[in-house]
Amino acid sequence: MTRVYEMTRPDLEARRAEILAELGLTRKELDEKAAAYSLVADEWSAWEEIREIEFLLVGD
Amino acid sequence: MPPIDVVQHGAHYVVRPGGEQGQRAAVPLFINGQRVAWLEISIKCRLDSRNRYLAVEDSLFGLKADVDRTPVLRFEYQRDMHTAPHAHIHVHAHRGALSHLLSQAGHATPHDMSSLHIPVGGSRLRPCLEDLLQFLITECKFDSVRGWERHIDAGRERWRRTQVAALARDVPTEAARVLTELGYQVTPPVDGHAEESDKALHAW
Repeated sequence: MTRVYEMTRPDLEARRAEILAELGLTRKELDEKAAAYSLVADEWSAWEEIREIEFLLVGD
Repeated sequence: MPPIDVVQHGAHYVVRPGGEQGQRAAVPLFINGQRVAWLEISIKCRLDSRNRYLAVEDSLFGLKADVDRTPVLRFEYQRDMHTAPHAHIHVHAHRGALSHLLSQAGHATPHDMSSLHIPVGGSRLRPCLEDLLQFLITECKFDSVRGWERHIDAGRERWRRTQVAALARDVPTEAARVLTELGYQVTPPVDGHAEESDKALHAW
């Protein structure tokens, strides 16, 4: 089964903010951890989801 | 098996397993009926130059263990990668001998094997999802359902046919040469052979 969701910019930005709030990190801090290969546990999934959101956002 | 979600914004799409109400999810993996790991799938696409098909910009297939929720293996493809191979694998493991070698070479993160990008065939010849699924079943011994082989075979064939066609478009002179050797009669276009793709031949 395939489902299609069209997301608005506010939806995507809100979800990104929610993810970062759950982690207690800023976007920059998360990037720095990824660049230093020091992501742990759920930070991996969070980082991947934020990468997806930011890819979608440049699709405007 | 979770549903497949296509999340869209503008001309960009993300294809991934879906959870409740469209939340991001992964495919659960089991050993003897017990869930022990997850297969993460994320394929970022945009419409191609003809606005007709989806072209993959970036993809991730990742094996993640429940025990620490951290990747074990990551198969990645990044179309616009400039500093590492477009298609590569990250292995999250530790090997003292490798750390020693990388330290001697002055590597920035010698103790982190996952910082290495192991090349796997470039854009056109990279492994497909079916290759990873067969690896998980056949070599890692994750549980499977009866009849999995025919689905993997069919999916792998679709992928390889698509990539062979793309390669022929990328390097038509080579396609013409081989077909001629096989006895086909090949007529180049009136304006001569199409330009070969530099990226297809040289990109890492």
